[in-house]
Amino acid sequence: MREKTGQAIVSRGSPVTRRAVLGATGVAAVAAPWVLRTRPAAAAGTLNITAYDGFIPPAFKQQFEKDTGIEVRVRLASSQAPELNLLVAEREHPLSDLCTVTGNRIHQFVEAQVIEPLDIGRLRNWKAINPLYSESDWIAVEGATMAVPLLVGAEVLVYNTEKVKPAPDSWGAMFDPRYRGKTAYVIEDFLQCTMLLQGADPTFVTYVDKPAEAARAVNAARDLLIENKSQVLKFYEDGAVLQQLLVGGDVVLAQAYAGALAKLILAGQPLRLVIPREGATAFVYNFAVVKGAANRDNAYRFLDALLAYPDIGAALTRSAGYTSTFLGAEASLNELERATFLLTPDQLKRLRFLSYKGQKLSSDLIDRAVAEVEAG
Amino acid sequence: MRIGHALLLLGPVLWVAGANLAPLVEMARISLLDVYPAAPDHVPRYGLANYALLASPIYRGAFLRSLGFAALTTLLTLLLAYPLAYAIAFATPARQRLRRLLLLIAPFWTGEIVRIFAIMLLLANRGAVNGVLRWAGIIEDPLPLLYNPFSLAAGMVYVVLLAMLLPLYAALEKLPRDLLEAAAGLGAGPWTRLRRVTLPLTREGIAAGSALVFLISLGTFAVPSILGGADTTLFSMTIGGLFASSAGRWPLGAAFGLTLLAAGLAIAACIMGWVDRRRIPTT
Repeated sequence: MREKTGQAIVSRGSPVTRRAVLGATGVAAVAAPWVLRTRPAAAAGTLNITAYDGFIPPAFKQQFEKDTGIEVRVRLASSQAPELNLLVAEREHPLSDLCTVTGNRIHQFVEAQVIEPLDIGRLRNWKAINPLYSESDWIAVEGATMAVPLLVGAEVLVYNTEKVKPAPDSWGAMFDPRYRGKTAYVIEDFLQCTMLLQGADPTFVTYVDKPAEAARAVNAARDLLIENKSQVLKFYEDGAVLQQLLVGGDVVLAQAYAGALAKLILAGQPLRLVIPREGATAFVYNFAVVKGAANRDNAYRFLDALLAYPDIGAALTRSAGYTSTFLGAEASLNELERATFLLTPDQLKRLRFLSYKGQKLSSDLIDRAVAEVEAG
Repeated sequence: MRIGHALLLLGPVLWVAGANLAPLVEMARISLLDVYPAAPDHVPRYGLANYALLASPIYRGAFLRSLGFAALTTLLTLLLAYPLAYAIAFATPARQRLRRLLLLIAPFWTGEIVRIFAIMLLLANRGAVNGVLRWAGIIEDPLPLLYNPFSLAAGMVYVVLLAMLLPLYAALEKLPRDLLEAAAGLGAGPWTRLRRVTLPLTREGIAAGSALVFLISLGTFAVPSILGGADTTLFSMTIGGLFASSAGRWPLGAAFGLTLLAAGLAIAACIMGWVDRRRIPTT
């Protein structure tokens, strides 16, 4: 009967009744998706970025917000595939203005119609980027530049200096019986490292017109991983999991992204990173403007500010753990940071940059092989 | 009055339809597509090819492993929870039962992820179990307790214990004590009373708990992802991987997800059906 009489729930005499509260809650619940969806698009003075952890140095963000009054909202992404799925799902009403895209995925993002060409004329500091990256063909699609290169990442072999002796210099160490049950890797990435070990091309560029050859190369790597499954303790996907495995001593040898581990080394953990003699795959992380971005002007202001000083490149390196693409950024790093973060010319020579040319062919083959290794 | 009842039912019906059935229907639609998410200019093609892929040995292995693992988890949880529920229902003074039950339930007030990481802290190389064993001089090197079937089973049993404990306690608590006394008076020993009286009369609790635990174990993603190792990949992880892929493999993930749901519900229905067939008539 209380509901019928609309009994007050706050205080006697208050106009707020149970019915009113329930009604308001109902309206709010119905309206919530609309409000949540449209608010970022409609709000002024904001910038929404989907980025990896550490890709926006905290001090830079704070300074940018203070100088411009633009509130920077960061949504973390952990890898390219889920990020792309998310952007595709939001395509009609983008919730991000900037997103993170790796060089080899740019064409996939363009095909999915989630990023738009960059107006370089609006970036006064564009020349602060090393031309090796800013003029490379993989950031251009049909003549338009699509993204701002930020950081260079590479697959590395990481080992515990106290437990793994002598120091390994080949991906083959991951199959050494002495380290049985003491290794970890990301299946998709280590599959490509294994291809390198077997003399195949993990970028798939040489297989563009030879799909059967590509399949043979992937299958050979897959078979080696399945055959040696007892070598691996954990298939991981998140760098934080690997950090835990290494610090806890569960794992002494692993395939990894350099970025996740550089901070551990700086913190004094007995770890070293190696680009094995067979080489390693590498990729460039970029920021791109999301197609239909609601805060496009703010996005360009942010990108231009990011490129303004080499110090910001160094800060990016420190927070993300990868080599900056900004000219002169290394000058702001100390000796230990340089030794940990930067790639030597010799290491750079051994890197094989992943390319969009091979991406389409590799996606299906590798996805299937990953499932087979996991389930095998 | 009928209109009143209908209006009363409308809310729950809309909720079930909107929050549970609608996503499943959409998932069923996606499972029939060739690619999803797709480029805007892609013309969708519908078919059953994704369901057929379950027959491939790669996926079938993970599917069967999941069924087996869910069955094992259910059995282990039952063996652990039954004595616990029995102790609370029979060996605890009536006024303390609720308190002790709440003590057992208390850890479940925290999130599942926190509880899984707590298990990790116990079993890690530098965790509590290895720490105590080393301190006691029983071992020198830490035992490999994590990222293997043991840690997966331990974590799973811990996470789903409550789903078994509560139905069992409810069944045991309402078991007429005079039946047990009568059995004892007729010369039945403790084992015979358990086998011939207690277990048959708590069958419904066992079935409800088992069905719940089996369904939860079958679909769990966080436990195997965090505590499992290279040789403990469950089907839920395979499905999760398909949804995380950027190669438009949501349809395959949706088809596998629905197949897993159907298999789980079918097995749960079999368990409940078994109870119904053996129900002791009350009239």
